[in-house]
Amino acid sequence: MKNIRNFCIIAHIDHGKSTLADRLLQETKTVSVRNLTNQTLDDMDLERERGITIKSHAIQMDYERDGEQYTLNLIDTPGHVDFSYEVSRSIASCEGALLIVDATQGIQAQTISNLYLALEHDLEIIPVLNKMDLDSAMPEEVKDQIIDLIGGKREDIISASGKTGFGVPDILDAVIDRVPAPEGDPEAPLQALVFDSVFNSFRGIIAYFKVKHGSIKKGDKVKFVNTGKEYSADEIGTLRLEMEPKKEVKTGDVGYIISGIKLAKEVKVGDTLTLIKNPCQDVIKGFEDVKPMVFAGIYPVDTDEYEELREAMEKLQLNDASLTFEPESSAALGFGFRCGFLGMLHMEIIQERLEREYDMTVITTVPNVSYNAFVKSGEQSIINNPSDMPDPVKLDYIEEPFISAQIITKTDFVGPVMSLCIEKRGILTNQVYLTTDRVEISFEMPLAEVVFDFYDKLKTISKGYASFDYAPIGYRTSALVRMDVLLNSDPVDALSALVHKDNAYSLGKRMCEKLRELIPRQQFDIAIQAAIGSKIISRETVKALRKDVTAKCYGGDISRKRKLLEKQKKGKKRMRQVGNVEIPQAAFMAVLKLD
Amino acid sequence: MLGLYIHIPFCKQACVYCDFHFSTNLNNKADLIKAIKAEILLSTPTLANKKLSSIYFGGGTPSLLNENEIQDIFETIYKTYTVSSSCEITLEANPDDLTNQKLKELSHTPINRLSIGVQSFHEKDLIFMKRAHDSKQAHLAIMNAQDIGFENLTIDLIYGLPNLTKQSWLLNINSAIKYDIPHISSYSLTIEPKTELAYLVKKQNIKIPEKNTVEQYWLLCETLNSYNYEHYEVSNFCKTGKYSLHNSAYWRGSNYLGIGPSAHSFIERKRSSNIANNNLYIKSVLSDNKRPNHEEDMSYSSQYNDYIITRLRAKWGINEQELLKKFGEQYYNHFSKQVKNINPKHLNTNKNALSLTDEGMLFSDSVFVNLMTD
Repeated sequence: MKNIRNFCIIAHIDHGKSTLADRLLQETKTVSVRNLTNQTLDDMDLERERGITIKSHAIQMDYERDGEQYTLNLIDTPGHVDFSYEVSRSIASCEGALLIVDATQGIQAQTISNLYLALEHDLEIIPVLNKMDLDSAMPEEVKDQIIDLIGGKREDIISASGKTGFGVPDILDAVIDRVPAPEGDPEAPLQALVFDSVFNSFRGIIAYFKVKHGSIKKGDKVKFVNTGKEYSADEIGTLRLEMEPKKEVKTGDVGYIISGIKLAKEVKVGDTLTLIKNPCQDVIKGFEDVKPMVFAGIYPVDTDEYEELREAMEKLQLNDASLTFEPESSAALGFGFRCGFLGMLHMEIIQERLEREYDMTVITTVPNVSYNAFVKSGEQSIINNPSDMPDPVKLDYIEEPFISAQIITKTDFVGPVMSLCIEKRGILTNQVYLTTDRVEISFEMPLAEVVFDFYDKLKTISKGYASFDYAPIGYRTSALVRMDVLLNSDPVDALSALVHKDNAYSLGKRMCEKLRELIPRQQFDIAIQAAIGSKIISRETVKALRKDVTAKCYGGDISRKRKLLEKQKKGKKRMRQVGNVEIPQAAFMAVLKLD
Repeated sequence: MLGLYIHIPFCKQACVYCDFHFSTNLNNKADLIKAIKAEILLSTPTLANKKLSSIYFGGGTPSLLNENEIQDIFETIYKTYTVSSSCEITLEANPDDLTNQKLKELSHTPINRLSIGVQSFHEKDLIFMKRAHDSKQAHLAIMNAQDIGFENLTIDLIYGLPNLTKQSWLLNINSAIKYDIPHISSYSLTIEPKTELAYLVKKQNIKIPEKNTVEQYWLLCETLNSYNYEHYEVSNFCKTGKYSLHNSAYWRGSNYLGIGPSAHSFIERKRSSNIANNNLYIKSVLSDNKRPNHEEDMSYSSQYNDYIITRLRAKWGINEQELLKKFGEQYYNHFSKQVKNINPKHLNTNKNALSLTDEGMLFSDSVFVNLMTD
């Protein structure tokens, strides 16, 4: 146990975490250069394209130094706010953390919140300045930021480059010298922390755990304490580049268990794994049932594909327990599902995975958060879909979830960032200068406003130099109204949204304008109206098409025209007919892209 | 039977709306003609024993060729292919090229049909379009061609121009009728990307009200109809039986061979096209002895889509039994199902075929998209 080191990496997206992790794998010969596709730890295509780690993974490395053999467990963490609970469980499995900071950019909000998590768990922090090979690196300034934040000595900060491999041996030395070996009682009953699980189509759910006390042997009868589920440890082992079966995983080490679990939801991240015969006395603290934050309807474009969509969602749920869904029906879209997501990125990922991995063409409706509605008779209901809102006559008041948000940006952008947050109904709670040109601004604001196009705007106004993190702080009463959209006088329920009373008029106007751009002209006029209750607040018209013909098809060049029309046909396939109006998929998300 | 298309990629000047392949630099004209002849020879192996039913010189501006150059090409054609005795042989010509002298020369060649690029009889329109001819030349070209004995004429007329009024459009139509032109191709102005027109429209914020264009379309259909012209293709009209044989082949699925840069071919249900670059074309044919021809890989559903959009452009339309025989039950069922979504005012149905009405032609792209598969 004294030669085991468990550590994770804390870094902001794009600060080079995955590249540096790959360098560690290479240096310890865990993976040969030939096997090293860029960013080995991210094995979903989507992850590689987006350059972010969505699901965390773990990998074990062997490293020999001065004749001593060390086992290094690197536990990878997702780098996006949507997945912060998973991050917290990964951190709880480690004794140390590499704090990787891009030497050209400095510390970002997401890094800070994860760093605080690591400090809460008493992790030894090893600061690393990455991308030192770049001319724009500003090591002295970024070192100041790090020392301001965590104290320590300048010379303890390691300079490195994931791209060139510079500094990688120093990092490994620091992991061995500075990260404490895990502590635990090998004789105590098994107590292991489940920090992640993945789905394998042949083997079912594979849970990853760190043994805090005791040990687990192949064939042991085990129990997940919080879910109460019992299984047999059919296979246990450690996580190399491939899984490596073992007879036993001992105290302090990180491993996996395969036990015929079929559904992702049977294994909850943060749960405690123990033996049925000789169970541990305590559960590991910090377990939470992750709750979805954002809800949206997902409908098949082709109504006949409802059952296929259900199958696809069920399969997705096998390896993504944080996805929730239940059937719903919409007058406009027919049968589909109301789905719950951890956040907007999670929603986009699910939508893309449905399309790429399951070849489904889906319509996603305007996302919303979960509201509490109170009617005058005193009853309370949870509203995950604007069209479930109680009759306004009976409605007493509505509560919506609020968050506390931290934004770190350059001083130059403080003005625009503040304006944006205030426009998004934010209340300024704090403003701290981290260095002379970096400010941390704290706001309390409605979560719903973050859902509506907040990230993109923040990125634009700060030219990319703002980072954002948030945590829920409970529900507050708000003056919300339901805004409906009517096409040729028919309400389209999938376009309804709950908006703040004061913003309703301007939102309604912009929504109608946006829809006018997005809905293609058809052979009749299309009236687009926004309404609150029976009151029309805005109107636009898509004028009828008077002709639709390619006059010339010269010299027998049929193919060019055919390809153009085939493209149109494809676009049409992604449209949904509501009444006699054809609505493109993009229109259902229009409210997110208002200027 | 086989149609032969020959692309002459040269023009004196560029018209504002044109996005076809041409060059205004005539330096390598001689080489290009040499290459065209060579390509005709290279084309035979696959097409031996096919008889030519039509020959069409398009462009560009084929009337830039002199008599010798034209005869030269014909010599190669006649040497290589059997030409049907009723072969329709068309040359596209610009009015400014059709002097009496030129017409006399052309009458010495096998050409028996002229396609005259009139576009408009109004000076103002011609200037806007940057045509090389003026109004007077437009009239003279027709009269002189008829005098010399070219009776089988077709002229192009463009409507939907920014400032074209209903009255002046009617005058254009009536001029064609007055000259008793047996075949009229009439196109509504299309703003193609990357043309001078696209640039002008954007820069000067030119508006072309759709309403006017549609009004001019109906004026065209109704006027020509009252003079017994048949609207046989989206943009083509003719007196009894005077269909363009060559262009009809495009819509009826007959074979045609395209020679010259950018030319398109359709042989045994396979589409292909030549490279659209004069120098590369010449090099490929003359130095490498190879037709710079790229065959398109068409999926089965694309072949079906191709069938829909070609057949429905012309009045002969789609025979459902033929469709069933060619593409099988699955496509036939798709077609029958989709037809029900189409505005009945857009379709003519008789027991033999399904075709577009005049109104249907105005919305032909919508109809095609409806009937196509993906």
